[in-house]
Amino acid sequence: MTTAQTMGLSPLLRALRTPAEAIGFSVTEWETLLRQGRATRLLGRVWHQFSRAGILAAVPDPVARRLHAAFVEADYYRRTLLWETDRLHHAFHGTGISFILLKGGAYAAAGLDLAYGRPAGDIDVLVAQESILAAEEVLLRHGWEHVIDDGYDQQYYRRWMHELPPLRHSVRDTELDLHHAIVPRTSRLRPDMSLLHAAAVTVDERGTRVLAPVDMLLHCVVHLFHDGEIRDAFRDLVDIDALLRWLGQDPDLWRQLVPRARQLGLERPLFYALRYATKILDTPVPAAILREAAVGAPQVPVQRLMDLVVPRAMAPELNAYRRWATRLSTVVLKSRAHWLRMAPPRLALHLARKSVRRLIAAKAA
Amino acid sequence: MRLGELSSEEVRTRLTQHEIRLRVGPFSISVASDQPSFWPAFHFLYQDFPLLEDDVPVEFRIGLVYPPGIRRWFRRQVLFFLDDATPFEPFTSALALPFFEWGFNWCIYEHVYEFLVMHAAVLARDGKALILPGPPGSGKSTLCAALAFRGWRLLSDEFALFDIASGALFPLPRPVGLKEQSIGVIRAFASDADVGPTFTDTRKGTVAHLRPPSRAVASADEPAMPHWLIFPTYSRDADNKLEPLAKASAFALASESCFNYRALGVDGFSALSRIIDRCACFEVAFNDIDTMVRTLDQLATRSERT
Amino acid sequence: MVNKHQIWRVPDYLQLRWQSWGEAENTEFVVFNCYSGETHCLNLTAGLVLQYLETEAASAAALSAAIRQALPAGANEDALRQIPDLLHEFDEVGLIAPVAP
Repeated sequence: MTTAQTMGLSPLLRALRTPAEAIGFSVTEWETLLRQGRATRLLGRVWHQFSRAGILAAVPDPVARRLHAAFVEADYYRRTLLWETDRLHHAFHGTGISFILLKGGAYAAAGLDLAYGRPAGDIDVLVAQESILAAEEVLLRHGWEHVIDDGYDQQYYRRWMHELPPLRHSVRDTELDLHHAIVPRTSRLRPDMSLLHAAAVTVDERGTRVLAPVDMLLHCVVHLFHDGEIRDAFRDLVDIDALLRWLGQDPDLWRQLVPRARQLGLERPLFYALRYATKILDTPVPAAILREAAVGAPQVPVQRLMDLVVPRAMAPELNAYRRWATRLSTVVLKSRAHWLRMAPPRLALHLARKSVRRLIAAKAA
Repeated sequence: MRLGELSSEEVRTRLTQHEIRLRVGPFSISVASDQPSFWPAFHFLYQDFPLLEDDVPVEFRIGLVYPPGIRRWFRRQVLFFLDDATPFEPFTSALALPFFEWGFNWCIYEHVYEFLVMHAAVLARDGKALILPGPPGSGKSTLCAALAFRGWRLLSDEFALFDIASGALFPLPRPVGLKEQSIGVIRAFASDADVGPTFTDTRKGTVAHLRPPSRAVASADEPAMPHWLIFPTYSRDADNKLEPLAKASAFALASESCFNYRALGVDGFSALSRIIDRCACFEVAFNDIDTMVRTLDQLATRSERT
Repeated sequence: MVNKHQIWRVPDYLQLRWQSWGEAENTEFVVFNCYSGETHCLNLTAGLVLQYLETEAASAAALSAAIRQALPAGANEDALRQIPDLLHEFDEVGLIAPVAP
């Protein structure tokens, strides 16, 4: 069985890898595409790929409507990110605090193709460690509010995480995450943030800053297996594939990739990202780069386990109470992600306190 | 072929073993269900709806099914599925039909961006559409049901689907949800009104559904152009008089009733501007259905003459 | 509070779409800011101020003078006194930006 079949994602995968293949889809395949695309929130991207491939005329009407509707919704988020960037400039003007946009906000500001059809409206902002409290204060003055009231959770974020507890805008209702690092304090990885700040680039006349292209990819890579919700892991892989294709246009950037990963101590996550992007999404990565990236490979048994677990975990939930194989994989990966963020003793304490508090809340209700 | 042409046996078999594929307004949907209370209610209320041709893909795949485990057997419950996602807490099994209606509404709020979608009842006379926006409690459902039996073609009791470029309203005739008091009012108002089973203990109290008139379902492919936009409020000391509404105010109120207005950006703004331009805009406080129906008839007749 | 001599304008990168209804002193505007995605309902004075700043930069004082001339006969001039507050609100929602002297 190919990796694609194991994942049970055939129509969606095929449509993403080779849009023109979709022209021959049966009714069932079209319906499966809608199902899987909806579960992974990739319908908008599919529309965008079809549009660029010039094959929209061959898509049956009901499917085209749903694809386009998803694209319209995603584009609303993209415009929201651009406006939020404007409001950040407005808020930080004259404060001397400079900020760097991460993820969706960066893709939108830089006008990357990846930003189109991508339905994410939360904005991620990176500031220097020493400016973080001042930055928080500026935001609170401009209508942003804390989402998490709970004192313990607030503390958890501030002590252990790479970002402050999330903020929500009181009027615009968007969510903002303020980061001082790209991995949590408790993680075993310790990329030197000053290197990332120094390499940041400006993408427009207002001075909007984003990470350098290779750093942008490496941030995404770290986010994939360390940081994100497992539900969005496949979508994160799609982002990685898109960034790799974008970087691939410049041979200089390929050459910088592994050395930069080593400089930041991110060889392991890069190895996994390249492995699964090439296996699952057929990303064109030069063989020489893959060989070079093998320096980040784990022990063979670990690699075997990951090869079993990762493709399945990325398969979107199919029939909630049937896919037990998928569920187990998700549990393994979730614990791993959480484990990597917090060394085991602290994790046990944190999880225990959370479950105790929930029990109390349930009884009181 | 229409759903009503299938026997109840066939309907039950298809719903439990596979699915029933239907066209509902502009949408192609499929429905599957293992809920005994659902089969006859669905068969009755959707009897006029056309079955989908085999070569048309379905855009919303809906399931109303028992949860796994004990709730399949004891104090039975039902889950609503769109594809493989079940976004809501379960309902009790007896409420499968209202759950379907409510869940299908949710699919439209969440996923429809090919139309400007307004929370409103829509009826038409001679191709001219009357739009009645209103949250629950505005009385629009009862008024809508009454008008549907007094010479107005029902386009929808819940969603005005405006084509973004032209402003044309696309019909989505579906069972009209009525709450307790309204059920009696409508039965008294129109003896030929077909009302489906009554459901007690829902979150909105007792509800029942009016089967959409066959004529309305048969003309589901015929759009109508917006002509009158009237904001109704049901209140005891109402005067039942139409008060003209300034267009800028009508725009503001209308945009608040449109779920996807913001997401549509400049296209939403342009579309709504054109619609407000075309429509005669009013608000009205009413307490008597008969009076309101007569008033609206007069409005339509005056319009015919000009 | 807004400095009376601060000069304001609608930034170049902003695109506004207008719709108006009514006549003379009853004119009401609805304006869409393509950049923010916000829709605003404006009365006559507010609409005239914003339209002016779309074409030319101006201070509160200059606006007051210009709008007074543009108002139709019979229009209420009290609104002119609220121009500084109006500019503050426009700035808050991102419709206008200060121009460096």
